[in-house]
Amino acid sequence: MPISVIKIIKTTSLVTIQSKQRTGFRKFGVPSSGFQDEHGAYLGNWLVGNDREAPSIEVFGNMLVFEALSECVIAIGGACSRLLINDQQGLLNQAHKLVLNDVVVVENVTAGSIFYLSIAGIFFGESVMGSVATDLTNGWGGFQGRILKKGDLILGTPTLRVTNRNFTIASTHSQFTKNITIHIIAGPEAHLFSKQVLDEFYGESFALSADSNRVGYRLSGTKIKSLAGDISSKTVLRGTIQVPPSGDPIILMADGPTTGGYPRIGVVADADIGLLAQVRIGGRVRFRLCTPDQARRNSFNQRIRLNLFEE
Amino acid sequence: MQKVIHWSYLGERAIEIASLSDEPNFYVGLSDFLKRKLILEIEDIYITDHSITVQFKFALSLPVDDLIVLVEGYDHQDDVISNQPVISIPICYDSEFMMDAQHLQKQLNLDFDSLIELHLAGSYRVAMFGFMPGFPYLSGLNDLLSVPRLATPRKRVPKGAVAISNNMCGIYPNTSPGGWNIIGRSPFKLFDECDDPPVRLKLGQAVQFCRISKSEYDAYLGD
Repeated sequence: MPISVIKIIKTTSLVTIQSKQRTGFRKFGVPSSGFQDEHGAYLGNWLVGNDREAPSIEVFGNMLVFEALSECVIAIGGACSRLLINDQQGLLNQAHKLVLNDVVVVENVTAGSIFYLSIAGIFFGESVMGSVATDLTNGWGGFQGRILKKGDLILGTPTLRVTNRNFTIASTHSQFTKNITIHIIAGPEAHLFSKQVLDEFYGESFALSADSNRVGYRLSGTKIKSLAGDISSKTVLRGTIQVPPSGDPIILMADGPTTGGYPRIGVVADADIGLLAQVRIGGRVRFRLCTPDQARRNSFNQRIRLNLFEE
Repeated sequence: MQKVIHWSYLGERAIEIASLSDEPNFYVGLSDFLKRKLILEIEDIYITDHSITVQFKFALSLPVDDLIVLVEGYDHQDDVISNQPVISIPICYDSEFMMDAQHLQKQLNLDFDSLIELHLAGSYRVAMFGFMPGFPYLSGLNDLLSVPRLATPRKRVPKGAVAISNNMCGIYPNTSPGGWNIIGRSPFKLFDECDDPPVRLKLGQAVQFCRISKSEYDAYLGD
């Protein structure tokens, strides 16, 4: 029987239930949604002993306060700098057992923009097309297809065993910096940009705009102009970088659409998507061209590192 | 005759192959063919206007050359797709629903009745889905109705709006922002996230429009 596990007390962030991607439906125009930073989510789930892709609460922003309405075991993954349980500082690299009415404050004041709250056991989100990931654009999945707000109750069947797992913070949290370089693979319309424009694209850095969200990260900086304005609608994937006529590139993220009509200058390497997701508003992004082979090698090595978090 | 195959990476796991044929159903057939051959290898296959994108599951090396050989070996016959029944979609051209009637008449130099007649008479096919869940891009729009997107997109296009842009006709499965020229409204249910599959139209399927009155439209929605 599901019970109320936690209650949201306060947040200023975009808080949603996320999980593995909604795969197999992109061909019908359905976005994949899911964790923006899978690495962060996996760590939180690993610490509490859940499947790595189990639903967890994604906090896109700086702060979440919640109250335990039953005994439960929680952990935080992703970009977090401070965990307070009833005003007592808690270690970030391990799971914590909560008792009734414990109040937990999770904050991030340093670097990175997304953290994950994992709860041991099963917690309930609406499953739509095979995934409980919230799709805010279409209003389905997770918690009634919407953002979690003050007063919302999260239901589940918590398990109470505390794992003895922990990880070294340095190896996971220090990767979040204000300025990042991400690898990209040349896109199908890269030829629609002049050599000079491509040199600028790879030579300059771009700032993450405030109107970035789970659909797309918008960049500003040097204007990138293509030789053609629009193309006919083509397939786009998570990480596809489109260049609209404004010249400000848009990188499609978890809730991004499945087709787009702007030239696709490049696609972010899979291994760097999580790092990109963690850039803060105003942080700077630099692109480095790589071959598909290099990108796949990076992904392979990243998966090996992640697989260490399996038992 | 052997065609030169144009392909490009779309990220490290996907390959997009474009301009293989002018026949829209070629891509639907090719997609079915590749799905059968690569069922364990691929995450999915996506079709857009004159292109097909094959997305592989995690792989250290992509068999690009082998994929191209497969594509070259594909012999398109329209049988499977032609056997799908023609689906009839009701459209109401009530003035209240023809939100862009005036500027379409002017821009296309057609009177009101010819506009509707040309739109109704088309024999359409589902060329792709995209833009939003369940939005069908229907090829087969009469060239006389070819019109660019609106200069300023609408913030809110109503659910069921039937709209045209360039050489395509589309129907909005839900309320959404949008920039296509609205020519009518359909009560046909295109998408339901609780159905499996969530779309009622199939890729490649032939679509015929039938005209309904405002009262028939209301009755249709009331059912």
